[in-house]
Amino acid sequence: MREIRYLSVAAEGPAIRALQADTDATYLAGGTSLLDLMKLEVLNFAQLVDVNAIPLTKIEVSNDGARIGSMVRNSDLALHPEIAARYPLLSEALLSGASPQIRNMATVGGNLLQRTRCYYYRDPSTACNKRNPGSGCAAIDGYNRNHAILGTSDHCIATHASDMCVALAALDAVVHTQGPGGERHIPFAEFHRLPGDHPEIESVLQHGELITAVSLPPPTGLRQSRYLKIRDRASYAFALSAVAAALRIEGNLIRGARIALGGVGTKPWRAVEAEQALVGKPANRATFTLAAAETVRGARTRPHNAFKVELTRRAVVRALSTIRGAS
Amino acid sequence: MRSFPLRDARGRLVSLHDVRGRPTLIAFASRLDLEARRDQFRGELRSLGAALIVITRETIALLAPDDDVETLELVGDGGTDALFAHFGVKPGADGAHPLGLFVVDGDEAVVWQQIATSAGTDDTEELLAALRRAATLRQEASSAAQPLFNRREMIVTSLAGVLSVVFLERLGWARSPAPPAPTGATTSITLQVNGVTHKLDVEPRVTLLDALREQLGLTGTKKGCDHGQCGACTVLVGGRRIDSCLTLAIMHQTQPITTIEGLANGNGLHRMQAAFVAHDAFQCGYCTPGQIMSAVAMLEEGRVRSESDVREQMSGNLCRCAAYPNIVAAITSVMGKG
Ligand SMILES: Cc1cc2nc3c(=O)[nH]c(=O)nc-3n(C[C@H](O)[C@H](O)[C@H](O)COP(=O)(O)OP(=O)(O)OC[C@H]3O[C@@H](n4cnc5c(N)ncnc54)[C@H](O)[C@@H]3O)c2cc1C
Ligand code: SF4
Ligand code: FES
Ligand code: FES
Repeated sequence: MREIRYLSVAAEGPAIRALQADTDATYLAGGTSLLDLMKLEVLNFAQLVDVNAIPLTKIEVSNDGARIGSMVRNSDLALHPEIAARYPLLSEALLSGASPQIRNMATVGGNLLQRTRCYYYRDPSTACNKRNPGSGCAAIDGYNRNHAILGTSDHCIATHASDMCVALAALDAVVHTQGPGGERHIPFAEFHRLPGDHPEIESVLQHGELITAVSLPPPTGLRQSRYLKIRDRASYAFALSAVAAALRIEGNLIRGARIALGGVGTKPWRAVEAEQALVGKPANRATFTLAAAETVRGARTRPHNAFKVELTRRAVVRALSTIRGAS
Repeated sequence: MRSFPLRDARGRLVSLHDVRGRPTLIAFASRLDLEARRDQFRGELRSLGAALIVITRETIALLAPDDDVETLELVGDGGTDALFAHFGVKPGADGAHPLGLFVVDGDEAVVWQQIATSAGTDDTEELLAALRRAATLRQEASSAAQPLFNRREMIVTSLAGVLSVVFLERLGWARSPAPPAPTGATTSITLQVNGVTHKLDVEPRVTLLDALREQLGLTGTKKGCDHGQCGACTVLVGGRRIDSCLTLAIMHQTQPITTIEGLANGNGLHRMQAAFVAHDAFQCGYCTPGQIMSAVAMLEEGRVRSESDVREQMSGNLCRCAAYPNIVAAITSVMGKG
């Protein structure tokens, strides 16, 4: 890791001003993504502005929804009794991610902006458009087993690796920010960007924009839910494919559905067509199978990740069947 | 480091950074004939405790102290050019390659490197002389102070050390690009570790793990992966378990820190420590401090009801020796006592 300058701030204003004054500065929260990559010299910032002392640590839950401060640790959010009761999908997703130690460090804001686990991105000796724009993509013709099948471009096929974000996509979260240009409230589907021609730009945030909170609408009809994460080992591994699903079933008919995918998309992937294929249909395996096919329609596979198509279909069917069985 | 798998004549895979359990010296050269001086090379390698891989444009040859010279083949494409490029050994204006020497460790990191300015000649004698001198220095050093452990890490470090001296002595060798030297501005910080307040000067980029180990001498906390992937560095900050390798020392000046050294009460082991001893919950012991700190915090968190809960909630601590059954038994025995 290269030399850095370090500044700790205790309020939003000084944090934003510090970044405004220095284009080579960034925010430091839990550090679990940023410091990992700075040690590898994949990311090199001259100044880190430590935002851990900013008291954005509240979790407020009411009938109007929930508002979660950006500095809330992943473990505290997952285990918050009201979050666990009203948004079990979010709790489950968080607890499936990383390890207890990392969840104690990782923040909500940092989790939204965590970097990909593409092997080549993490290795500065290789070509990577995300790390080094215009240098090419070593993954496209290389080993691409953990890479995306949805939302890819000719310039990057890296997944967004977060579990929390998959649940937030399904739950219609909103990201709140404060920045040089004032406040913004960004619908979750618009927060992350597809790689396109510029995989180095991963979100719509401007330099210096600070995430202050994430809010969730009331969980109406979303409590029957399941986060199913498929990975190479039982715990402490990133998703090969993950499904966040929720169903509202009345009688035998599906009245509401949410499906989002992890481990397969270049951003947290909301599967709207699959949801449409569920609503109004009987809650049975035939319906689930049709919806599962929708989730991977348009998938673009590579030699080592083609298995994710079938894996994802089956995971979707299993997640929906589990919810059906439990309801 | 990108890995370059190699295959020997019998089809077995050999990795560049770990030749059948030995630390490896990698030499790049235009021309170098191991066979011509095989016995001499073998002798020096034996006293250095290392294997040697020689890479020229045409061939890759391996010599381990007790074996014959073997020819290796690169698995996959790219040829030896890719290897030269990866290690940054670039041809000179005349197209000839300089002599490059690297010591790599089991973490796939280059721990020492030197690239000669001289080029193009047969480097067999040059390399042999360097290794001979290194072996002598090594012998002098180890007869002066018998190392307590002969761990691989120490072999690698001392190898790098003696080779540095050798190449400082020999003119005609270019200076290797300096590793990030700790020359940056330091800041004075305060850490409360195991009930003691320490003042220390650190660069802001120093991790909590490195500050504990290198500056406070608290080497009970281990460095495994240095990237949040193994849990060997687990400590408690404000009573919560975290990986000390992915956080900066300067970020933790307000909350009390507990390391494995702070767990026992005088000579009385913490009950989790005692349980690990009683259940033989380790083999090499490298992961053990992290396992114990993590287990202590996990029981504080109060969410374990079953053995499978233990496995899930201890999954942030890997054990390379796979002592898992006994680790789980040790922890559940403490749970049982409430
Ligand atoms: C070994 C390992 C395994 C992991 N496994 C998983 C897994 O299975 N599933 C999973 O989902 N994740 C996993 N993770 C990733 C982990 O969840 C993220 O690293 C973590 O959530 C990042 O949060 P942080 O607070 O540490 O962010 P930091 O590393 O501090 O920051 C990350 C980025 O966010 C920016 N940032 C932080 N806070 C703000 C803010 N408030 N406003 C604006 N920008 C901000 C930083 O500038 C930086 O660019 C794993 C990580 C490791 C190291
Ligand atoms: S997939 Fe994206 S992140 Fe990975 S090497 Fe290609 S450009 Fe880089
Ligand atoms: S050394 Fe910190 S997790 Fe491995
Ligand atoms: S006892 Fe050797 S790594 Fe766990």
